[in-house]
Amino acid sequence: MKENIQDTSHDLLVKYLLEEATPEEIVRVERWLKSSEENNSYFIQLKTIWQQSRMLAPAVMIDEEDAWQRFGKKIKQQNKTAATPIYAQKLNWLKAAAILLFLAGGSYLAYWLSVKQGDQLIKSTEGRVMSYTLPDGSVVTLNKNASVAYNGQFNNTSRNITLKGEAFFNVVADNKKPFIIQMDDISVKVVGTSFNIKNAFNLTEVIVETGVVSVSKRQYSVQLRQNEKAIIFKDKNAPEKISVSSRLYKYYRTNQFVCVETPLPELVAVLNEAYNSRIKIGSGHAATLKLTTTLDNKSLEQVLEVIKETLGINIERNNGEIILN
Amino acid sequence: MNLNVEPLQEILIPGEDIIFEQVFKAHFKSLFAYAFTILKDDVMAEEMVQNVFYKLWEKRDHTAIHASLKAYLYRSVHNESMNYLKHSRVIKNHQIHTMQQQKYEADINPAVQLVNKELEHHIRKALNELPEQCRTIFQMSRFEDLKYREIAEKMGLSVKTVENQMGKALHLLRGKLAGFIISLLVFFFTHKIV
Repeated sequence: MKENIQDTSHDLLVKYLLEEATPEEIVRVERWLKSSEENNSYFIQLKTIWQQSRMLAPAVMIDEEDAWQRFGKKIKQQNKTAATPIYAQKLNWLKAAAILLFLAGGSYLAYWLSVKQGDQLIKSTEGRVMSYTLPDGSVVTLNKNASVAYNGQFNNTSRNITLKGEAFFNVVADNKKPFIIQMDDISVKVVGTSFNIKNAFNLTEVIVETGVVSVSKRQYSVQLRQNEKAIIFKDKNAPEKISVSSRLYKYYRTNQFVCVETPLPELVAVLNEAYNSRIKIGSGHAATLKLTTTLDNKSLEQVLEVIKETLGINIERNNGEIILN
Repeated sequence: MNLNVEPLQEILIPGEDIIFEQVFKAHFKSLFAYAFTILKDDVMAEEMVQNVFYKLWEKRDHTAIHASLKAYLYRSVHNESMNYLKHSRVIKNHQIHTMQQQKYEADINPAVQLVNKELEHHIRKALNELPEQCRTIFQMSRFEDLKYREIAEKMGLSVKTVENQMGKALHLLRGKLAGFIISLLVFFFTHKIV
């Protein structure tokens, strides 16, 4: 048997078997199959396994509606064993509602009903970027390890949301209900616009793509327009406003690293975030280099190769660290 | 790294029971089929899927939002089923035996019956030894008839990764089954079945 078959040609053989191969690949595989009896018999073995494995499938399928009914029963049973019966919980809610109504009148009930909607927490996980539509139709794209929280259906006067980590917001316009993002003592207020917020431990950055955004910390605030950026340091009071030409911050939405005269250290910082890598810049002249190129969604290896070729620098590896010189 | 943005319908929203129901119904059959190919027992297969959803239900008010819900559900069903298998190996073997006998009673040729039974047992065992992701992708390709591109989309992976994992799956299966398959092919040949 041909045990030393190359991994790539093995994948190709399976592609051929599953009818996923391109016409050129089909020609290649069929030539390979004809070249020896050994090759052909290897393929027949794969094909036999593939075909015969089909018999493991269930003969009878269970209906999902029936399964859902059984799931309902399962939940009820499990809840019965819990300390408070369901009807008692309901009674408590009613009591609470009655007392509130008695003490504070109808407006309090309205408030209670909105609280009842509960806080919503939307989290992205470690390796993934995630898009989510809020109740008002605004879309938030969370970078890795980010989260937003908001209360139910928002309230009547404003759309309040809290943010941890980095996210891009595309906010639906509503003049009567400003959209307010809270991060500890920093707040970002908009009416309808799109912008990116990066909220890290001691530094927060807001970059505006369209519209007008107001960024405040304590009594200080700045107004940002397109291609303007606010930087807010944890240990400083007033947000600082600068103009920004870099489009690098978009990478997690667009799958591209767009560099226009981008200093290498800036690109390296973004790459380390995106790939969870430990790239450092050595003591040489690399820190002063600038790069203009667009890197598509490639592996880190490919990205580093492009940087190396474009800038003519050396790449060393040492215990998981990648050093550019 | 994967920078793909997740399609919205694949996201669970805490407290939204109607969405939970939709997710349950949308994924139940394929998850049941997955558990069945591992366990070969329809009652237990449903139980595994129900358990996975029950655990998700309990967590639904906290966070329980996963970037690729499909990948999460498959992984959970795989783990739940493998754990069950580990803890009930003795009972399981007995069940496999009795159920297989029932299934092949209808076959005419007793020699073919016997070989099929053996083959099914070997394939299931080999499949259950594959790494989780590899196994899940194989499952989607073989039992849900999905193309590489569709699997990649549902799992939030690149087509290249799916291609590698399928290559790996069949390569590993052949490694485990080679001896048996060769004698099987000889058997089929002598009985003029193929």
